[in-house]
Amino acid sequence: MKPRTILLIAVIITTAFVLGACATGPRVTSVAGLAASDTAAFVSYGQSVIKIDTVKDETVKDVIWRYPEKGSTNIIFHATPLVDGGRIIIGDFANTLHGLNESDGTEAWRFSKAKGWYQSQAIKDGEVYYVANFDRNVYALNASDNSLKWNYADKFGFLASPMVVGSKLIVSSQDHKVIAFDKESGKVLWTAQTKGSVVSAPYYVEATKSLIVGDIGNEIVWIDLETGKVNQTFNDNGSMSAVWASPVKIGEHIVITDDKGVIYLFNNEGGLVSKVASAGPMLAGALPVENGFVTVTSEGTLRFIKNGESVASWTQPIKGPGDAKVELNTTPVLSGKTIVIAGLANNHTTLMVWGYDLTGNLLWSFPPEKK
Amino acid sequence: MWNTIIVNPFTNILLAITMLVKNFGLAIILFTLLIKLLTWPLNAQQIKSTKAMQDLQNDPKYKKVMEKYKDNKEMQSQEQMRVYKERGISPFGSCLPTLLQFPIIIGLYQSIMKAMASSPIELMQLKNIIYPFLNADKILPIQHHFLWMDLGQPERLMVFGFGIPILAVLVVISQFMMTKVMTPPSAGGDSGGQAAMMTKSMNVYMPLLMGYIAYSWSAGLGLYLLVSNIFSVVQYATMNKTPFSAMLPWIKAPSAPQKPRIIETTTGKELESEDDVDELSSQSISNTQEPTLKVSKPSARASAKQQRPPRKR
Repeated sequence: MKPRTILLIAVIITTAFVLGACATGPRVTSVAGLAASDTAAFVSYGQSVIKIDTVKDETVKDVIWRYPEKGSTNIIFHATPLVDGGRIIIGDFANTLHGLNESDGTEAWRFSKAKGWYQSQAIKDGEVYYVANFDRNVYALNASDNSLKWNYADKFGFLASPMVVGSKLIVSSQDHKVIAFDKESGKVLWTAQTKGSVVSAPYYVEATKSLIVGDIGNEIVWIDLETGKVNQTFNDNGSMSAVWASPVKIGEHIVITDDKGVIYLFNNEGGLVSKVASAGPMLAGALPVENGFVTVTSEGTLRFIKNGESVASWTQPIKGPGDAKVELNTTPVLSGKTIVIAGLANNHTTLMVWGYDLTGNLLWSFPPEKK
Repeated sequence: MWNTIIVNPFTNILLAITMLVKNFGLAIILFTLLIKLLTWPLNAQQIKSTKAMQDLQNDPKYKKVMEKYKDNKEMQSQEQMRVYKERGISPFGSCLPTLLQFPIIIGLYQSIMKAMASSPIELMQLKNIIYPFLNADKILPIQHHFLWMDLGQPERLMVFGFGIPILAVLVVISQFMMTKVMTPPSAGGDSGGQAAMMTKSMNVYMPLLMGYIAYSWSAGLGLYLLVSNIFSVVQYATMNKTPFSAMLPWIKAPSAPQKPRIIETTTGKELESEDDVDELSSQSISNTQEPTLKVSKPSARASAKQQRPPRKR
C-alpha cells in the first residue's frame, strides 16, 4: 500500500473516531437537576449525579459521591433527582431509571423498559413511583420490586413531572393538555386542553379544588380537579409570556413566573394580587423561604421577595469562576437553612453549585476553585 | 449573525413546511429537496468541473504531456495550466461551489437539530426564534415520530428484539453511490495507480464514516443525509447520463464496446496507427467529451477532416 493511501485511510479513521466521540450519546442542551435533603444536595448534570454536603462548615465543597463513578458520554443526566428516604431516584438520557443508595451512591435497582429520555423528576405516592418519559409514556412502578404497574402511551414526549392529588395522577403534556389518570389503574379520567404545550406540573389549590398551571402559549389556566373543565384563564391582557416552571404556594399566595421574568401572585380564588417586575428572563420557579421567596434569573441573579411586597428585598449577582457569566435556569432548593443554587458557566460546560444563607450571603460553592 | 441570516430563516421555513404537511419527517425531506434544488446550479457547476477534470485525466495526450514533464515539476505545472486554460477548465471549479454550499449545508443541519427541540430549554430557544406570523403556539411541539423512527434519537428498527439501523445502512449505500460517481476515475501509470488506491479507499471509508454518523446521531440528520445523497446521485446521473452500473457494484456493466474503426470518408481508408487517431482526436475533442466517442461520430470526423492539412501518402 502506498504511503498516500495509508495517510488517507489514517485521516479518515481519525476523523471517524473524532466524530464518533462527538457522535456517541445524546446531544441536548438542558439544565441541571437539583434536589436536597436537610443535610445534602443532589445535582445531576452531564455524565453524573453528585451528592454535596450542605452543612459542614467549609467554603468550597467536595463531592461525597458521584454516580456513575466513571462518566460515559452515553449516560447523561438532566432530570431532577427524587430524594426518597434512603434512595435517590433519577432517570437518565439512556432510557434508564436508577434507584441509588443515598448514603454511597451505589445503584440499588434500575428500570430499563422505557425507550426515551427521562427529563423530569419521578414522584412517589404510597408504594408506587410515577415517572414521565420523552418516549411518550407515563410509567407507574411498584416501589417494592420496581416492576411495571401500568403505563400510558400518548402522542408526544412528556417533559413535566407527574403529581398526585387524592386518587388522581395528573400529568402535563406537550400536546397542549393536562391529563388526569386513575392512579391505580392508569385509566384516563379527563383531559383538559390548554393553549400551548405544558412543560411543568400544576399546583393543586385545595380551597377551590382546582389545578393551576401555566403553558408556553403565554397563558395560565385553572382546571377543575373533578371534571377537567377549564374554569379560568389568565394572560395579563396579552402581555404575559411563556411559563416553564410549576406554580408554588407561598404564604397566602400562589406564585408563578413567566420567561420574561415577571412574577405573578394570585390568591386562592384566582385573582391577581400583585406582580413583581422583571429582573431578567426566567425559566426557574420560585422557592419558598422564611417570610417570602427567592427566584433566580437566567442571567445570573438571585432575588429575595418578602411576603406581601412586590420589590426585591435583596439581590445577589452570581458569577462563575473568574467572574464568568452563569446561566441559572434551575429552580433553587432549600437544604436546612441553606438556599442551594445550580447553574452553568462557560457555555454550559461547567456545572456550578452555590450555597447561600437566607439573607443572601454566600456560604459555599462547588467547584469554582480547588481547596 | 450566523443564526439570524442562516439558521433562523431555515428553521422557520422547515417549521412552515411542517405546518403545511403536518409531518416533520416529510418536512425534512421536502426542505432538503428544496435546498438541493436551490443549489442545483452550484452542484451542476461542480459536477461539470469534476467531469471535465475526469475527462482530462483520461485524455491520452494530457497523460503524455504529464509523463513527458514528470521530472520537471515547473514545466509540468505550466503545461497543466496551459491545458486548463485551453479547455476552459478552472482547477477550483469543482471545489468553489462546494465551499459556497458549506454554509447552506451546515445551516440546514443546524436548523433540523434546532427544530427537534428535545428539552424545555431547547423548546424555549426554538419558540423564541419562530417568526410571529408562524404562530409558535400552534406549531409546537414538533412530532418527532416518522415511520418507525424517533427523529430526535438514533434510528433502530426493532426486529425480534434486535435494533437494526436501517437508515444508517441506506446512508452507507447512497453515500457509496455518490462517492463513486463524484470521484474521478484514476488514470493508469504510477501516479494513476496511487490515485486508484486513494479513490478505492475513499469509496469505502467515506460511506462508512457517513454511515457511522447516521448510526449514532439523530435519525433526523440521517434522513437529511440520505435524501441529500440520493438527490446528488440523481442529479449526477441526469446530467451525465451515467449508467447505474457505474454506481452500483452489483449491477454488471455492459461489455466494453469494440474499438471503433475510423475511416476517412474521402478516401475510405482506415486509420490504424495510434498517431493517426491521436492527431484526429486532439483536433476534435471538446472540453468535456471523451475523445474516442467524438472520433467515432461522423460529424466529428467530417469536421476533423476539414481542419486537417493534406497528408502525404
